[in-house]
Amino acid sequence: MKTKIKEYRARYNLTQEKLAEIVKVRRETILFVEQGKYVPSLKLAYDIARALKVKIEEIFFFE
Amino acid sequence: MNVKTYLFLRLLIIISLAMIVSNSIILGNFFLPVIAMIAAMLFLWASKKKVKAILHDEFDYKVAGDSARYSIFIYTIISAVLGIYFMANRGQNQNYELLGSIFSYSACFLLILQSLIFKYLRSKNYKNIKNED
Repeated sequence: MKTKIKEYRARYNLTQEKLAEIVKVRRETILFVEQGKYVPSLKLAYDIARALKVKIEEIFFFE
Repeated sequence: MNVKTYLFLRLLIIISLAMIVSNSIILGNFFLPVIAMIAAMLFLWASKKKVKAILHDEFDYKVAGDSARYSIFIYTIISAVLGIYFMANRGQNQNYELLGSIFSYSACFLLILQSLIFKYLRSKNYKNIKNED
């Protein structure tokens, strides 16, 4: 799985820590999701998309 | 309370608990470690509630599930092998039969417990899904 979280984070000037705080997970989880090492639950994916003000399909890609 | 303070407190409690339990074993006291364990659990539970930061999330739960599965698998294999070994060589030492039984039955008990909890959790989730329908 690939993500565009990093790009969108940069756009909104959000750190991993800040995003983690918004979606109520640990910073390491954001890091693993960002690197594509962990496929998040639908709820977490939805929360991340909402925090970054985009649709889920715009930041998560399955190859 | 921040995460660092909580982790330091947790470490302190674990060290204290280990000291109390080991001393109680030496002294032959049964109630002291039980009381200490309950007190430690309550204290940790109360201090955990005061931590505002996220300590565990869905990724941790997934990793915990995977590690539990591997632990059960490894423990069962080792216990079964040791159980068979001790049972097969019970003629060499009179305690081997007892050891073999302990290893074999503990592996069986763990598997039964795991399957019961698995069935319970699955049926509970299934009921929740049915209720939502």
